[in-house]
Amino acid sequence: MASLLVFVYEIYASYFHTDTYGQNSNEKIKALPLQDLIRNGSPFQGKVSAPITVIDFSDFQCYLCNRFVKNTEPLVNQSYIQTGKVALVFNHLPNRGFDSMGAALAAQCTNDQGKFWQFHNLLYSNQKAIDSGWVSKENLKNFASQIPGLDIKRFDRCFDSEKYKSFVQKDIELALSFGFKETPSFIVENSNGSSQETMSGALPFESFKAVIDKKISAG
Amino acid sequence: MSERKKTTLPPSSSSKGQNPLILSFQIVFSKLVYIVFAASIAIAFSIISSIFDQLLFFYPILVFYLPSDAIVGFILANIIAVLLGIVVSMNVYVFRHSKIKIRNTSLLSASSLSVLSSICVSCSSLGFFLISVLGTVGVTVSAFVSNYQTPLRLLSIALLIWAYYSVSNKLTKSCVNSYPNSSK
Repeated sequence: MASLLVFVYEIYASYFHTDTYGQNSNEKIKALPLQDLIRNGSPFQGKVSAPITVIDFSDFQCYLCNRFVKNTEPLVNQSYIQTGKVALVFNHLPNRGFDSMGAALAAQCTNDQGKFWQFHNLLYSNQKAIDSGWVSKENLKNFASQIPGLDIKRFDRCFDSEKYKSFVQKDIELALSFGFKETPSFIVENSNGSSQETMSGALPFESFKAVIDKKISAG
Repeated sequence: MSERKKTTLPPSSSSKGQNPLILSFQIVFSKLVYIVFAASIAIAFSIISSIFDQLLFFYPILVFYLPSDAIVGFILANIIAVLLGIVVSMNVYVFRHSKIKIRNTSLLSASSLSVLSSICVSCSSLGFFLISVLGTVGVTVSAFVSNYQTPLRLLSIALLIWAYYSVSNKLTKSCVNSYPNSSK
């Protein structure tokens, strides 16, 4: 019976919220212009002038986020980010385990020194079982020490003081305001924050291509 | 041999020297309706597993993709789907053709476990649901089921094999029980 309830809930959470927060209900959704996201300190890759923004809500302990990073992101990067059509913004949604918040805080600290994406890739390539200790405080500091050019003392100060706790909390609140409970989840929008489309799951490149091409052709 | 008219065996079947596991399979799946029923269950379960494993997407376009990290899970889920179809069909056959009541708890456990474990590979939403219902216990449960997805699926397969063995025994026993002049 419990399985059945969970099953029904999963169906609802995975599929119906997409309609609720799709293009037909833009008035309910907070506009997220790329400039504001960058100004607020969200890590991004791509050109500031890119017409489309993809906002990725992920957790470093999330196995499906890792699938996205390994299989889909490189293709999105090659086809759209390198060509200046898309900017990819990372937002934190650490909800997979108790250690997820620490990983998010550490990653945001590396962003202070422009090393977020190196740290991001390092964590995903070393991902282990949820809450198995692989993103313990000590291990996160070890990972940070492997990033070339990262000032480790500055990183430690930032990480130990939990400088970005409220920042990550705001990302979580933003994700929840869009109905995201699953990681990874995405918002694809015009760079001025208009015409938002939400997607959930470790979607393949074809899914992103369909949405991005549609937005590009719509101008 | 005339007593065999009272059994559930089809007239063409011969039980002499045959493995009960194979015999019971032949008894049930000699009828097209049970083949269709088993196939429907297997296909439905396979599709549901693919959705929950995030291999099959309906939005924004219909797409199925199988990344390398999902191959083992996909194979296990499909083994579960086939076994589930077979075991459920055989149980239905037994319910319809035998007076013996079965209490096949292994079928329930296996199907619940396999559904739950496949849900939980994508279970941020389940995690969130569990967290909101159970608090920190929910995080632990969610993490456990995610981390042990493959062993849980193997356990599901083992339970389904046990369920198959169990229902096969019931089926062949029900035949034996129908013999009025049994040697016992």
